[in-house]
Amino acid sequence: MIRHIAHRLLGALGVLLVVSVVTFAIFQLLPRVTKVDMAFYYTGRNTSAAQAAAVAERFGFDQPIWTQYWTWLSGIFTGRELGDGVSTVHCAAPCLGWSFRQNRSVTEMLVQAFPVTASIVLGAAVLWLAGGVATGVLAAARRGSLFDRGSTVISLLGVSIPEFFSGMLVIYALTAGPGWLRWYSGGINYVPFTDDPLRWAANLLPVWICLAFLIAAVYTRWTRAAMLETMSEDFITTATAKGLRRRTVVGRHGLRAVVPSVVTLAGLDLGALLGGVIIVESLFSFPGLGRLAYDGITTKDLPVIMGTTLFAAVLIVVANVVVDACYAILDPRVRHVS
Amino acid sequence: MSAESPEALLRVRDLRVHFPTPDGLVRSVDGLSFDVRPGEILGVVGESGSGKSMAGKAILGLHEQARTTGEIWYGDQQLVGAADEELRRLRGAKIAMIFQDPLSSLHPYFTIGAQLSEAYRVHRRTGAKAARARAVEMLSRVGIPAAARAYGAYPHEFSGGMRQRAMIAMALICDPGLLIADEPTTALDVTVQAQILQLIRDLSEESGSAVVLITHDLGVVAETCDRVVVMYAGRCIEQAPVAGLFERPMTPYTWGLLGSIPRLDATLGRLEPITGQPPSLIDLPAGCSFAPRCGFASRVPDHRCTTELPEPLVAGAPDHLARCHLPVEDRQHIWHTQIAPAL
Repeated sequence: MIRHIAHRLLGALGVLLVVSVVTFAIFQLLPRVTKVDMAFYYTGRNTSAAQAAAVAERFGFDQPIWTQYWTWLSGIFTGRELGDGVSTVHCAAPCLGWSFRQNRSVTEMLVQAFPVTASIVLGAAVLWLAGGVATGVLAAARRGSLFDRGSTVISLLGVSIPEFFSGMLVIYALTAGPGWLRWYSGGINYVPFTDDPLRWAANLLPVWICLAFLIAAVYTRWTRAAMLETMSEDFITTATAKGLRRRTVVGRHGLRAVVPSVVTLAGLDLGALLGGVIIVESLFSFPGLGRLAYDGITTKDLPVIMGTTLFAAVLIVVANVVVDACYAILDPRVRHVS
Repeated sequence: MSAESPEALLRVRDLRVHFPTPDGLVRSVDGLSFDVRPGEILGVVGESGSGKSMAGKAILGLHEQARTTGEIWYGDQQLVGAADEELRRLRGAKIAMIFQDPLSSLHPYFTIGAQLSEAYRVHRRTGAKAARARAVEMLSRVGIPAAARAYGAYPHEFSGGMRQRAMIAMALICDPGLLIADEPTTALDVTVQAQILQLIRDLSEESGSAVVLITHDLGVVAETCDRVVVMYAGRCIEQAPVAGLFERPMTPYTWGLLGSIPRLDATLGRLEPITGQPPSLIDLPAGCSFAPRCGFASRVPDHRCTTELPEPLVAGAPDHLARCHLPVEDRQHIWHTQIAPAL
């Protein structure tokens, strides 16, 4: 078991190394970005070409790409000294670069944005897991009933209505809609949990519902299908033939068989979403990782784009390792093989 | 069809299990009658699709999509159309069932012990400790070594034979009066098959439980059962004590079955398969369902075999019933002169 985990972690490190190379390479090799262009990002368009060239030299943009990569990568572990020609700043490890647009270390920006995204995603995950899985199980247990058909229609709506549409409706209804619905007349704003847990939850609730509705729909359809398949398994017939109550057959024997795959799905979704929920965060103007990446892209803030990309990749790799470990815990057959 | 036996533990009368499908009504079981007496082992044999497994599941009301009609009496309790809760209390407690593939029939994520205790606690009001003790006792009774350790094992850690032993332990944990064993040895190695059959026979004798042994294997029937019901196309075509059936089978179908069993002491090289296919269960022939494949139907005048369903009638011995239009004397003659010598 320990060897298995060590093996997986080693593999994960390899994947991360490849991701870092690819992330770095993509942004360096963009055909229309010259070295001097890159310097312009830091100094602004008004700089003369000569000045830009000087900046480029100081940043090392004129050095071979592999040297630049090594400087960038080693900065993650040891920190770096960065200068913009006027002053020099120390970027402490783990240094993912420096945003001269905002004059802050990218790591610091990520650390600040992550709790926002985590608040959105973890809260929504509770809702979509509880709602989606419960609805799916009930729909499967009462296949063909009004509940089943109703949940099918609603989850179809959930899957097919994009969040930027449902989100705008929610924002409009809650902040500018009819009086009895205008619960957030002051707007929906992110409040850190440490400032005021109650207002944190109150402001996040519409965001949670908006995101969870979309994802719960997938979980409902998926759980329903998995439960229907499970309910035709031989061990379910055995459970019924033992004289167990229908509730126990469905809720214990049926659901237990579906749990590992739901956990897999949830783990991978969490890994992907924790890296940033671009649309929802932008829509509600919550300063999370998605918003950070979006702003980085629109302002061509290269270190920020690379930082958020690498961070999102790390989360996905970590989620994969965690899911693997969960699978080994949840499925005794895997546990014993490994 | 049934020899009258008022003391019967289970009485099945005119059982029909029909499945509505887009292609039409599938008549998996279509007028099946038999009795199970206390403590006896009754074999139910037939080809795939003869309805034997369907009938077994119908006794416990395990069909969800089927239309089940007729009568199934367990003592004075009518099971067809019984309330869900009434059936649930019966399942496992009075009538238990084991299945063909013990690997897929055991829950892969629960330990053997948890699955056994659960079966006990659902019917007996006992604490976890008593249920555990009972489960360990049952595991050692079915011959699982180190039963206390086996209690915590998962099904995949057991061999096929051990799994089927565990299934049997689970089925008998509440001392049911009747065990329905649906092809319990089909998925097992030949060497293990004999052990499992022996175990079922021993436990049945020990506990006085009756057994309905559903199988396609006449060899299993000969070894294990007291009486036998031969099914064809959803009906009982012949039923008799095992000795009677093998010594004087009274339907051409049973002759065909006997002719297609390989024998070690046979002098002739070739097996005789029954020609043709079993009839479609959606479109059963009028008359005897075996008539289209029967080599003797032409001997019966007026095409009765293809127009009139033969009733189960006493043939040869008082507890030997067979559905066949051929006169009993003719059948006895054919058996002794043509069929038996060729086997």
